[in-house]
Amino acid sequence: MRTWRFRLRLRHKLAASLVIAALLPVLVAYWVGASVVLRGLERGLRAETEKQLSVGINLLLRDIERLGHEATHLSSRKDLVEALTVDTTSTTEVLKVESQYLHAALIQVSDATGEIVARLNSTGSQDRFAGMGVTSASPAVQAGLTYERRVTVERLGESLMVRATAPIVDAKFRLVGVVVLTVPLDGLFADQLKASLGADVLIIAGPNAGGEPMMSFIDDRGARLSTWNRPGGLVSEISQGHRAFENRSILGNPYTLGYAPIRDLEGQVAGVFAVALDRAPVLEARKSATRSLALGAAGAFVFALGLAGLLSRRIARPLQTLHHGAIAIAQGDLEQKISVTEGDEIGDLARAFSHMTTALKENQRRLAARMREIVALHDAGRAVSSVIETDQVLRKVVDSVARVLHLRVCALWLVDQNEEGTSDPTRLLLGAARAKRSDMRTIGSKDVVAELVGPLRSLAEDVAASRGSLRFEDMRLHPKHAKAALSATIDGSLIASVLERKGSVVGVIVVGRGAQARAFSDADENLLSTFADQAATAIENANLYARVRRFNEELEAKVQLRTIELQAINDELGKTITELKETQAQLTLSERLAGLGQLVAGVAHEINSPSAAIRGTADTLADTVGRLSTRQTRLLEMLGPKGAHDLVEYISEVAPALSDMRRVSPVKVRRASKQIGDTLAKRHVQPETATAVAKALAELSADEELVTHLSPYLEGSASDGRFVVDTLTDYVSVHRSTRTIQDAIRRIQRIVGSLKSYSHLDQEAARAEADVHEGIENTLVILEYQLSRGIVVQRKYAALPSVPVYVDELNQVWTNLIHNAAQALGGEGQIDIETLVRNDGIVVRIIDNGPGIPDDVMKRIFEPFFTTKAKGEGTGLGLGIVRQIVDKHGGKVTCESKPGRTCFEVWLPGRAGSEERA
Amino acid sequence: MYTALVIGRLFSGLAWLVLLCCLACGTKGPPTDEAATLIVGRAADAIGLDPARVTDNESVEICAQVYESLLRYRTGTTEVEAALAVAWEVSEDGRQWDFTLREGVTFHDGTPLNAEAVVFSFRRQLDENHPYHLTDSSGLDFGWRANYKNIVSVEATGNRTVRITIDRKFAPFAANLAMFPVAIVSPSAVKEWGEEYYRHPVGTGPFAFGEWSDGRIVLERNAHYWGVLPKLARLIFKAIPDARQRLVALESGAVDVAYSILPDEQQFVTLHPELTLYRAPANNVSYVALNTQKAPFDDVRVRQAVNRAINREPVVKLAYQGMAIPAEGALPPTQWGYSPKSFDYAYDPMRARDELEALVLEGVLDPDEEIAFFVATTPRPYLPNPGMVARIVKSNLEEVGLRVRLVEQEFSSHLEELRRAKHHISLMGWVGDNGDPDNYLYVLFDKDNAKLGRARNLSFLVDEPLHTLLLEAQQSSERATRSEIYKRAQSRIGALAPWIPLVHSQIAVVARADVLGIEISPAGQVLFEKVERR
Repeated sequence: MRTWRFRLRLRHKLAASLVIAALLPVLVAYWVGASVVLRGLERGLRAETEKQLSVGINLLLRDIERLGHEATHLSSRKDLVEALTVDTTSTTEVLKVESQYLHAALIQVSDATGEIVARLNSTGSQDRFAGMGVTSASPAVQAGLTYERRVTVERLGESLMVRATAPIVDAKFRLVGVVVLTVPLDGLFADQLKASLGADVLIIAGPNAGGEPMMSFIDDRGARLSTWNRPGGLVSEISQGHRAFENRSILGNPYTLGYAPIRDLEGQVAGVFAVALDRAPVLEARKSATRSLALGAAGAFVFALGLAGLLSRRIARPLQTLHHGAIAIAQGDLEQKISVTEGDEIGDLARAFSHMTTALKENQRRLAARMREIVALHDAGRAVSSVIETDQVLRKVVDSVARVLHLRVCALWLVDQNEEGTSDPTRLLLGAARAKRSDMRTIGSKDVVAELVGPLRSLAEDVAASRGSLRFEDMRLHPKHAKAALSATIDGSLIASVLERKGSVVGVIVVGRGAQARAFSDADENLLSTFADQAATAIENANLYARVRRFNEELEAKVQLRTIELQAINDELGKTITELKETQAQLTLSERLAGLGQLVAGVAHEINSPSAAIRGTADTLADTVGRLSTRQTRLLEMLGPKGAHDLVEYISEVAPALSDMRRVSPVKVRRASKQIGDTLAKRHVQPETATAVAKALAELSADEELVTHLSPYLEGSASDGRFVVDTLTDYVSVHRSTRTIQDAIRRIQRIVGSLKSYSHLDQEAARAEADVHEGIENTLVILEYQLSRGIVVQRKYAALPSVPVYVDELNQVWTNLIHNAAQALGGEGQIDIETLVRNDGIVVRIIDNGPGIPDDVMKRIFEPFFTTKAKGEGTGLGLGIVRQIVDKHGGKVTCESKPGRTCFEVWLPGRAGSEERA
Repeated sequence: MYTALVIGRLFSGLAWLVLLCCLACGTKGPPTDEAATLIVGRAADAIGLDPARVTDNESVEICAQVYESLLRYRTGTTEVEAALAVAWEVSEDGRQWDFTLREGVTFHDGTPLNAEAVVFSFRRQLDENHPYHLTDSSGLDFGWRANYKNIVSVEATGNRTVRITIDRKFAPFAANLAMFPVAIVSPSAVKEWGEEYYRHPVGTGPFAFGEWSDGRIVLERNAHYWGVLPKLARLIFKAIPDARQRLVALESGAVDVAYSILPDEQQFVTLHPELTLYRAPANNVSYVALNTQKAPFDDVRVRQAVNRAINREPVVKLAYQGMAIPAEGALPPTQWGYSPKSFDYAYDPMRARDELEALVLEGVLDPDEEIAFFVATTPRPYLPNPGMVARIVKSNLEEVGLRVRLVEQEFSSHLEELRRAKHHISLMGWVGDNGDPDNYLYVLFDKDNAKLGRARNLSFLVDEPLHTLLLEAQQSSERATRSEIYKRAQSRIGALAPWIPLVHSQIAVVARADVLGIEISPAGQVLFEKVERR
């Protein structure tokens, strides 16, 4: 997007810049000037106030000092000393006389004890000194009594006063009394100071200027001003002993006030002295100064404005002329004249512009001529390169040259090339030629032209031999070829130029004009030379093209042949791949068969033991049962039918319970047999019989009830007794055997059941929701024989959701992983099986604490056919198949290993993975 | 192109602005030299500026700025520390003092400070045959020689090492070497100016001498000073003898600091917001010297009687306006070794009169004989209002029956006359020099210093037991022992009553409020190297 730009004319810019340039200093000058003047006025007033304050303070202090001097003076009056030493009552009279020479004050005199003996108000105005007198206890009197001469400012409530003390000593410097002079710093005092200062004066008691001031201001009703607003912000400064200044209005007039502290002899601020200077003249001066400055600034600005307009017009006019001229020239009007006559830089610029225009015009003319040639050359070149047949090329070259150079004759010879590609530049063959008759009409017949240019061949051969070019102004004057040229109708100028390509002469081109035509120029020769180069290129291109075409044809034939061969090879390859695929499938199958083999071996092993047990027990059972049938007969003989029947009934009843009893240790047997012997003895069983059966009964864990119950049958001989007990033993044995066989069969059933669910042989190999834990548990059962006693299997199962799996294939995964772990442990160690839920799926980890997998092996464990087992132990497809199966589930299997911990982790997605579709 | 134009205009605008601002601010220039100049108004002009040949305070004050000695007092104390010497060693017997000089120090005239200059400074005043042991044409002499007569030899042991040998062990010697009379002077300047050297002093101190004319002495800051450079570039001392005029000069700003303001003016100064009064206890004493070699004061009873006749209350209150304390002996209470009430004569004019009348009867005292009371009219630091003090003393004495005639003259003549023992009694004072009691007691009371013509013992007291005590004190290096001896000496002096001790004054220096850093040394001098102008 094009950004919009505000277009301002140069003249206006110039005017604006000049105005701004003038305005800025004017404003600055106004601002600076005004502030300088105003500051100067304020500073002047402040300095004046400060000066007046100093003068005022000095006057005040001089007055205070004067009072001190007056006290001293008074104290040294001889008549006063005399009055005090001779007759104190005359003291007042003396004071009246002496006070004529003093300023107005309250005069008090004490005697040497401090008692006030005289008091005189030298002004006569009573209220001015009311309540201001001293007593003998006053510090002023007490100080005087110790010869101390002093003058200080004292504060008495809301007012300040100056108090001067002087000891009165006689000629021998003996103290005879004290004189104390008191003057209040009141309005009258302020008036005195004002009279000397010429400025109003304020005296305020207290360090905080808190009291009502004593002022020299008189309002318009003639009354003394006595109330005012205390100078709030300045109080702290003044009370700290510094000066302070402020502007404020008093009685409606503006004043600048300067405050200075009045200190007492201890250096404490006792009050404040202030002078007030009228600000009215300053404010007036300020106003008039501001006004004059503003007027001056405005005038300067107007002048600057006019000057800017004038100047910008003068500067911009020639620039504008130049601008218009430049635009016209830019639009191609080179005839434009720029009439700027100024002698300045713009004039120079305009003149330079004129020169530029002239130069431009000349260049444009030259360019046009050159352009025409280039167009012709371009056309010729295009024409020449647009054909690829050699003959056509030559013809085009000759036509183009003849047209561009306005020729009478143009002939092109080619160097004859033999079979081997070598050439003899002296043997030339006419390639193409063109000629015009004297009436400048082109000769149509090729043969006529060939005949016409024939004589020029020797000239061409000479040029080819010299590998240069020939240019002759008037062929009629040529020493060697004049005749040939004339016969070729060239009676004007001629150029012969060789066609070179890669350093070898390809041909010669000869052009000629009639005597009436212009002789050839350098430009013509250059043009011809360019043509010659182009022609040479074109000719070579044409030759090359011919060769390429030939080569192409040969190639095509070869390719066809090769294609047929390749087709055959391809077919062969296809076959091989198919075979490979088959082999791979077979290998996978054989691995699965190997797994099955392992499985079968396990199953066989598992079934073998119970089978052996059954076989052994079955043999014993057969013997026992055989024996029992014979025992029946003897029992009948011994006990009679009723007794035998009762006994057998009883034995059948207790035998199953006895068969459940554990075998008893020999120690227990010995102890039990003794008890049984005792019991039998009580039951009237003969000791021999008892001894004979006691051990056997003890071995059957017979209890007292059994022994009691059996005792009636044991009352006979020892052998009879023994027979009865043996019969019991045989019955128990039969029950035991039966139980053993039942157990063995149950075990076999369990194995077969596991095998069935492990292989799912009876189900379609389809993906189904299954409990992974069940699969792992089945696998563990199958592999139980491999997990020797030294291997502990620990399960850490999480609550897992059912996931869609190919149950039998997944069982092979668990088989391989657990089998590998067991192999790695070499008979001793621990296998942890952990399950957990993660990322919408489940994770099964098979972890062993074996020696770990070395790094180099680790990289390759999932490769098919990679194995660390000795040859023949495994195909090496185990973990490869694990990965294949897990991939098929859309899951992932990874392995981490370090010595002491190798973990295979299988992640299975909760939803069917992408492999489902495959 | 356009941007360049704008920037160009902007710059020219700025240039205008800067120009205008410069014009506006042109009134504020750099601070003038005035700020670094301090003018001191004082009662008298210096007499001479050759440290070995001056005694008056005005001269000493200038010498203290221009010169330095081998040792000096640590600021604010009477403890001695290195100055032009960087180290010193004293031999076992206390007689050989070896000094190593500070390196790279030059005099104001460019002469390098070396052992030769030190030897020259000592020898020219100690050796009467030294070519620059100047004759007495200018009224100055090497009066201080008496203080250093224990020096046996001063030799250069190297370019920067000097050995001073004294006749016997003398404890206050280090303090004496810190005093101004043995300040080191430029030998080339002394050789160049000869007799006129006292007007062209050249030392190594913080200020260099500039010019001296019409009672005005100009000192310039010594830019090559080895110590801390003074803040003032120029220090001018102006003699304004009239106290009233000094105060006016101070008020008007003609001077920045003024000494010896009239006591009555001090209240004015205290009340004045633009002036500041500085007070400090002064290391001095004012006294009436009683000429023990002249009747009637050759009798100790007369001296004791007049001691009871003087009331110090009007002296303190009227003459000093309270800026003093009554003296009970020669030593001020701030001096170590001070013993209170060594002159134990309470004011009792009746008793004095009675005693004197008894002596008249005895024929010792002629009541009609006029006593010549010599008084200098020039105020001194210890005596700001000598006229009034003289009159109070005179009337007190007349009160007890004596006839007193005041002989008032200008200070240098006054001193000259006193040294020649023209007086019966005289009003005098003493400013402690080296912070050692020896400087009061030996100098003012020992017979060694009672030589006519250059005496400092102006009562011309000659007392052998006292002399023994004072010498003993000089030879002991333990301060406690010396203190004990000086107590006995003071008691002896009190009993002999060669003086009427009057008061120890307080120093009052008044400065304008814009003068900062005024500090007064224990010796009672303003430490100008710390003063600055606001």
